[in-house]
Amino acid sequence: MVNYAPIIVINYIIQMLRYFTLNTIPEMLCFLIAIICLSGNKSLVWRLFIPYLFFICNSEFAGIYLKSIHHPNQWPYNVLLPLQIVFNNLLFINIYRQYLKNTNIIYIGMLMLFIIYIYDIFSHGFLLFNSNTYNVMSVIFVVYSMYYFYIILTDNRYLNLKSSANFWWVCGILFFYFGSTVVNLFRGRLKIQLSSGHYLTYYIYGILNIIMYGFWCYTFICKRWSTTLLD
Amino acid sequence: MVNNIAGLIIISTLIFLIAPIFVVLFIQVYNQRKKKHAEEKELLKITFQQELLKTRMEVQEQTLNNISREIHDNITQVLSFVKLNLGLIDEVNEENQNKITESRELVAQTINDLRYLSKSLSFEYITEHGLVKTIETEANRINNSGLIGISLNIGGTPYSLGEQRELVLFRIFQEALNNTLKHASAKHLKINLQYSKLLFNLTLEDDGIGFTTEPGNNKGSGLKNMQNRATLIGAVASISSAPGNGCLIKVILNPIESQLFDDGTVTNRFG
Repeated sequence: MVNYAPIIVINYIIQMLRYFTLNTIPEMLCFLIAIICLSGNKSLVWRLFIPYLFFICNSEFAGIYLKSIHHPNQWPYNVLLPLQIVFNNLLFINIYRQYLKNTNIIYIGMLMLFIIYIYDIFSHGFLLFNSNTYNVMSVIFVVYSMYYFYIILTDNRYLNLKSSANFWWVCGILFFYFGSTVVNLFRGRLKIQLSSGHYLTYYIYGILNIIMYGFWCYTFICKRWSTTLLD
Repeated sequence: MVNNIAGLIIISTLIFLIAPIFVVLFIQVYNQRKKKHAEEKELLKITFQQELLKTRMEVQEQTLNNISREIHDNITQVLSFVKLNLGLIDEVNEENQNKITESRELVAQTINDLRYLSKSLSFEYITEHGLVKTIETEANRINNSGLIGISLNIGGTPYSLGEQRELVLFRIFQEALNNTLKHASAKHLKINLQYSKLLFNLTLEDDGIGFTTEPGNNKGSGLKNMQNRATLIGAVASISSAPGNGCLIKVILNPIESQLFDDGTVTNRFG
């Protein structure tokens, strides 16, 4: 009698390993660090990072699973997109409120993104990724990030940048969405399939993810263990 | 193919380098501005404190000058009148005559003392006669009173340090003298004024009971005042003392260096 149990276990492990990719590993690490650092945080917005990262990880796993069973796998990212819009805008509002009385511009940006999102859904359905919404969102977040840098440069109160959670979070956003914007602009030239079977853009986004989630991990550590002028 | 790879490299560089370069530059610029801001703030604080001290001194000098005028114009006049009236009393017995004579002497003494006091309070007197003459006058007055023995030594060729500076130096001298008379229980006070081209040195040394110069010592406010006044005219005041070892105060001034006041010439600052 052949014992198939080890083979089943090994097969299962191999199946599970495909969920550990260039994108998901930094996301999962970031999620763990968020749990450790932000669970006891007084601010609700920062505590919401934990469920937000949980959704991100789940969306990635869903995308990988659907791809493995040869189903369209773009729609989980369409589910994630509104969460990204709301959460990132919420955090920008939280940061800007320390410097500006009026943050209506962010609400206007959020509204605009939702309008484009609904337009995308109506124009090509839910199964295809809402790339227009994503592209516009990338540009908007880059603009918000640049504006934040401008605000802190011109503000009279000075931050200790090394331990400013807000600063490093915005840096992560800038790196990722600036990179996304450039990739979106040159998508035609970057759509080259490599020998691994992935496109070049897959690796570029992977590196951008590592950078962004790396910054976010440092942000959470700053939030947990440092105090700054304004954070 | 080559063009494609070159294009990919350029695009990848754009993606991966522009943002970090921007962030690094930003952090540098931000930290530079932060440092500059902190320096400006510190400078403003120092300037403000100096202005405050200057204003306080101006008010003080004006008040002292007013008091000096009051003493000279009113009190000494009244006392002179009293002395005159006492001189006009006649047809008294010998005992009463002695009392009148004694009273006249006391009034005369009081008039003299008040005249000295008036001179020492008045900045006009100080600026008119100069630092050396004013300190000499004060030293003579104290020696005549018998409170303490003062020896005055002047080295080099005296020259004018500027009215403002000399006024401040005289006030420092007065503060030091007051402290010696009130607290030191000293028998002797040595005053040394050294004039040279590049430096002026005022030294006051007594043989009193001394005191501790550690921080937190309650006796420090008058001494702090001396140091602040010295700083105002670009001088450095150092105070050294120890219990049982008297007190040594040194004020060193470089007349050529600029300081907060004008170049030492007459201003309308004190009226």
